[in-house]
Amino acid sequence: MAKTKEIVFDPLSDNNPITVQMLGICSALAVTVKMETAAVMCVAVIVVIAFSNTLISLLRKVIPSKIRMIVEMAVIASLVIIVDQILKAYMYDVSKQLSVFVGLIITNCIVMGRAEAFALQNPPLESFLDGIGNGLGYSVVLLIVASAREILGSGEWYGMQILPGGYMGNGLAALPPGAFIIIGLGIWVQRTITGKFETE
Amino acid sequence: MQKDDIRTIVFAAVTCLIVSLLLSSTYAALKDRQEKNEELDRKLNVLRAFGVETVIDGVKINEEDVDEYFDNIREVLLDETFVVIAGASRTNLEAQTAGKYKLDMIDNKKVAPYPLFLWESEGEVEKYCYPQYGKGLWSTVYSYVALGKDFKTVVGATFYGHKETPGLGGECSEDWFMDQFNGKQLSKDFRVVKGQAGEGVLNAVDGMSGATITGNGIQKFLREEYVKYSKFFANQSAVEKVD
Repeated sequence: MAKTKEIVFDPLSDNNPITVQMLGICSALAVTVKMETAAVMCVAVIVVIAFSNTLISLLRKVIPSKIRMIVEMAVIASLVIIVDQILKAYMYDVSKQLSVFVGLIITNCIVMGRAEAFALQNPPLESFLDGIGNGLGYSVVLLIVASAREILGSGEWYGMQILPGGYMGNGLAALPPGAFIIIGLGIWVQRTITGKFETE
Repeated sequence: MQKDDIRTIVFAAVTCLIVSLLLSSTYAALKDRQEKNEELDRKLNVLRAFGVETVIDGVKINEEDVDEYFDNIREVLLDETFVVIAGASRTNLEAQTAGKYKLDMIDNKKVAPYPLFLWESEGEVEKYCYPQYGKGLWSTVYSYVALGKDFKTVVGATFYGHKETPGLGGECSEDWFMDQFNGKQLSKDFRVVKGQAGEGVLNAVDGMSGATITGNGIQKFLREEYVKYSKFFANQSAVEKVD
């Protein structure tokens, strides 16, 4: 039981995919201008990692090692295409805003990384939980960055006006450099609190 | 061949088969809904070009409202000399023209018939809108542009359905880019240009930083299609003068 908890909660901070493993930064910069797009992206990534981990874990004993990565890619790409198709059918506007970035979940290193590093060695349930955990870890960072950027960039949060009407949006926060700075500050704060550093 | 290799090939083949079945069935199951969304998006773009506010307080107007607006809008089809094909619509085109024109010829816009939307108010045409498309950098950019009674002044323009880079060429479907067209005058020298499209300049709009090729593509089809449709407008003005 303790191990299950660790699998799910470790990636939220101590082994966070973005701030510690440094994976998936590209999409973290791209979709965090507003909360709404970030939230949908989070759900999409959680679903994709959880199911790709589960499927690859189920197949782990039969996948021929020579074409291991290609099979992983096929599984991940199919899941992403299905998610993209569902968004186009049921959340058309959000899918338009996310544009290419849903497709780019395929190349999000977190998904492939967890398949290689975890799902290939562990049974399905643990792999599923590892997927959820890492998806959540990714989501936490995405949502924090998106909150900061939406509030600073346009004075709103999830589309609701929260800063007084006279607030002039900070253009830097709305652009990718703003995300870089916020992620950087986040990593600084996190490492100061946890006291973990990469040491030679 | 070793047993191992055969197993690998069989595994790969089975994986491909399963994956392709899965994807094609998802696509088939969701196709209707997706097409409905695209059709609504297309209509919203027509309305926006006509100057209708399609987003009110951050909320998109719903389907019924869209249809209500479309009651004022009539689509006519033009032949190669840009004269209205009398009585022809999308539903009866082939019958009406004795098979000369086919339905699928309408939207590719390389040959007649050319579609044109008329915004009518109390029996009089107030605005004209036509579709156009052309290559940006990575993809085809689709667009509607609506002109006023003088056949020159832009009522509104929209760009949509493209796969240009978000933040660069993708800016063409952002409000700031599309709104600049309002009140400009289309001509065969219309320009999408850097820094020379301030107030008072009627034949140019500001381009997008880092997206010169997308801008050039848009400029190209704006000019070409305007030249084409101006034949219809010339016909119209001639009719009015005779009257």
